[in-house]
Amino acid sequence: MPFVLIIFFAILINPIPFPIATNRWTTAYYRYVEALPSGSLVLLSPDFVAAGYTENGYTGEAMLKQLWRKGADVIIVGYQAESPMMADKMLLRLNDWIKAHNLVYGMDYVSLPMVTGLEVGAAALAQKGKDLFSVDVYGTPISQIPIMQRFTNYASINLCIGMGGRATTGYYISHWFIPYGVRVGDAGATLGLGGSIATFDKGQIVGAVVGLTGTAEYESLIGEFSVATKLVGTLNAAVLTMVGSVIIININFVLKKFGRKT
Amino acid sequence: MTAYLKSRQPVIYLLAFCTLVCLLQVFFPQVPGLTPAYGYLSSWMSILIGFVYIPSTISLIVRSAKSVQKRKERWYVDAIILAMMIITAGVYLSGGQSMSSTQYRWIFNILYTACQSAVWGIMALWLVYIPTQTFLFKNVDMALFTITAVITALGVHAPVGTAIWGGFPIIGQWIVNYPDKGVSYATGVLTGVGVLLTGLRMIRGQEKGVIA
Repeated sequence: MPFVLIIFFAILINPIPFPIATNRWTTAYYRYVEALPSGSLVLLSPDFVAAGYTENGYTGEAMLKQLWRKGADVIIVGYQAESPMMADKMLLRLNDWIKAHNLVYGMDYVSLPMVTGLEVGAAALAQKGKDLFSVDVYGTPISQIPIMQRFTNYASINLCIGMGGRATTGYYISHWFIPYGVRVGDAGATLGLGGSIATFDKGQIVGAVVGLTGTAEYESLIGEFSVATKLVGTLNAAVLTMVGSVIIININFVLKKFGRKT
Repeated sequence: MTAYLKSRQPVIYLLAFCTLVCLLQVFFPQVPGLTPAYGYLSSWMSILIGFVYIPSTISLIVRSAKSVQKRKERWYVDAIILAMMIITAGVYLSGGQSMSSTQYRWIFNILYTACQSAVWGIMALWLVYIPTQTFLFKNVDMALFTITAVITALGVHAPVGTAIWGGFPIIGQWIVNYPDKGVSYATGVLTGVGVLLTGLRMIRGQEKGVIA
């Protein structure tokens, strides 16, 4: 066990890079956003916890970069209490990129307070649009934010992106895609990969960027390599440690079993 | 009359009415008045769910304060919870009640995020321990489970698998695209049916649930 831990931390400190092959659901999402017309309005929902930033936060950063490069305007609104803070963290980390690309808050993007009610909130947002809010997260009245004047209801939105797990994506599928045909993207956790693929193959989502590996694939597609690509080395270390532990323990287990029989 | 109003019946009838409106709107959106009614109900549901934060916060404050006052077991944990709640609320309210407050963002980005990340990071050591307890070849089922987990981990979740053997991604993708996806479909259907049946039982008064 100590030997395994030593190898684990050694690889953690010096991650070994490996070429990353992209999956079809990541490629599909990338191609869909590449085909979005300039001026599209997109909803991005960062519904993950602070500790989940490693798995979903970097995904959000990469998604924002591609959306802005395509000229899309982004409304960041979530359904969890931590969503506004996660949005704030993403925007803080992208501050230099935003300034370099001359993006303006209120014109190209906006961050809104959380919408209460989870699934009910998502349904209400589809109906009410900007009428659900009086101010943004920084206290600016909605009437003074140009991008919000375009958001009347579901018809104004070209793409909704649910992040952090299957829940938010499920809300958008149930209350935006099925009744109104608004397309949905997914930026889920690795644990929900099966569900993401299921909804992708059913045509309910345009594509999915799932987990850290998905984000690294996505970064290779958009050509903006960031933390996720570096962290895949760490992921490799974790997986190798797990697999190594399983092999060693099972060899030991089988040898003991055969030893008892003889 | 008073006894009737105090009973569960009016709440059940109200719940049944709201459920009926929402269900009918999904299948018959073209019926006049149904979609506006659904939108109106959705707004009220959002308000009610948002209101829940207030009594739950008050409940937490009262419980923590009683625990500190009576010096119950681990009262110091409740004291920290209470103190952080008051400090965070105070910082937010005094900082203009918006995310513009530098101090509020510091509490979240530096204090809260770091603590939560540390707790999750500690669990990384479980990555080494848990598989040694779970993935054992005790029988055929466990052997199949272990082999599937290893192949999926190497084939789909980490690029290192591709570097070790080109077959890992092929088999891993097959597992994810067929058995895993099939189970996801089944889980989704069963969950939906279960939620619907539970809701119908609540409307009929057979489940206590939130109406208890």
